[in-house]
Amino acid sequence: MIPRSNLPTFSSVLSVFFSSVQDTTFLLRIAHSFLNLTCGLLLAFSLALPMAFAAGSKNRFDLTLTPLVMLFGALPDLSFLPLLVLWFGPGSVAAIIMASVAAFFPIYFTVREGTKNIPRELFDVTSIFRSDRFSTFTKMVLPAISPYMFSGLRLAYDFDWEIIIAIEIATRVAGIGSFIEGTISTGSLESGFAAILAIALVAVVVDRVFFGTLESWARKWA
Amino acid sequence: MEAHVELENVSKFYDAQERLHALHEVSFGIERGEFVCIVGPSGCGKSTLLKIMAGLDAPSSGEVRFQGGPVRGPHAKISMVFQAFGLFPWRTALENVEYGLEMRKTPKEERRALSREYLEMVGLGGYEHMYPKQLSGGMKQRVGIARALAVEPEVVLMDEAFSAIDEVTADVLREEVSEIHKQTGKTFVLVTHNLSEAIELADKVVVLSSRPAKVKKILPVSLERPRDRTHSLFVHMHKDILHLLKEELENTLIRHKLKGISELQMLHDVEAIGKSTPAKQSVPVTSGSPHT
Repeated sequence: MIPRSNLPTFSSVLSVFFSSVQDTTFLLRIAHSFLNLTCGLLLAFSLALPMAFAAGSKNRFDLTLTPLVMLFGALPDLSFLPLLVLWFGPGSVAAIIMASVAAFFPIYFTVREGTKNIPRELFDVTSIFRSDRFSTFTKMVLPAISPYMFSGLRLAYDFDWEIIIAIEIATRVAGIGSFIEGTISTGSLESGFAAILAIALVAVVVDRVFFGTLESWARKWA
Repeated sequence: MEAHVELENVSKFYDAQERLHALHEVSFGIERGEFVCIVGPSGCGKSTLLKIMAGLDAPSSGEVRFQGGPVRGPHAKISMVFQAFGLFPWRTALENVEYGLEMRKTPKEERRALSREYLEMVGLGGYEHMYPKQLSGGMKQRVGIARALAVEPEVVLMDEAFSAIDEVTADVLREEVSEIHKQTGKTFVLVTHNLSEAIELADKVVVLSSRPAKVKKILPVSLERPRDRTHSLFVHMHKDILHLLKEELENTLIRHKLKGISELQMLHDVEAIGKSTPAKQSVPVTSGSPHT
């Protein structure tokens, strides 16, 4: 059904892959995408964590914050892309903002849920032993919500790969996404598949190494 | 001479409008080294009273004094054992015991050694590196007790400390707590709904009334330790306290019933008004129909 010219053989993809990974510009493109993704994720994390913690611990904040967050969450994230490109140009800034918007929701909702699930008794324990606010947060709240936080981050990380690639394909700048987009004009399916293979590799390795380590720590006690 | 811990007219309302009345002018004293058990009908506010003594909650009026000074917030010499153990699941048994000392900035080596000592005291030597999920309920509460003792308090407050543990384990643990009390001479306050437990452990039992809780009776327990639950005096006391609590329960029921009756009366009144109004309105309609 599909002509051979439209579906490259696995061996030809592999050979293009191995020659590509020796090419610095190819590697830089992947690094570029990964860096944008990481920045977006960190930006989302630093915004979502305090907001989610506030919403999870005080009903008053929950009632004002969560409906707003839900409203934004209901909108398809990518619909903001043209506006962001208009404001910031088709570069990293738009990509990072877009990635952080997409990463915000999973982090916000998991951390909020985690905060709500901290047993009240544990707050009494920190009070009885006279913890100050800082140690209560770092030694009790943070570890207590960490399993939720980790799954939120992992979800956000997966979302963000999609978002970053979509942005790069749409705006055709830098990154590995625009490289894939380039296959339309060159017609080289092998390099398209090779790029996808490279993304999958990075995504899986980071997932295993980074999130795997975090989760195995949580599994010890949770 | 003033008691070690003194409660003076402690009242507590849960709401600002003062409708939810939890405690009403509770006053009693606890001597140094005394083991006091507080019993009362369920939901009477005995845990709230303990929280106020711990400085975790503030009374609406009245005062708790510790060694003559008012308790305003958690005190370094007042420690607590929690009903659901209150352990941090991400910390090992040893690290959990260390927590209180950590908050006091005790140097690491010292707090480690001290915590080890207290874990051994509660019979958990060798379990230092276990996480709470690997421990049974009884063992978890042992960690909770070790943590409470590690900060070297003068008063140990226990909130239903044995009620989440199976009966046999709880029995052993009670004996050990009694032993710890004897050896350390610390003041212990236990809130419980288990009357046998109260009589077994206490130097005196404070019986609270139903909500709003008042001190209904204070009964000294003069039985020799270790206490035999089948001893006639023990049985007698159990019966007495049970009677007091049942009386309270009945009072509440009667109050509820009375409230129910008054509500029913109100309902009748409302219905009567409701009936009378449409009756008046229906006059013009029915006026056309033949009256016979």
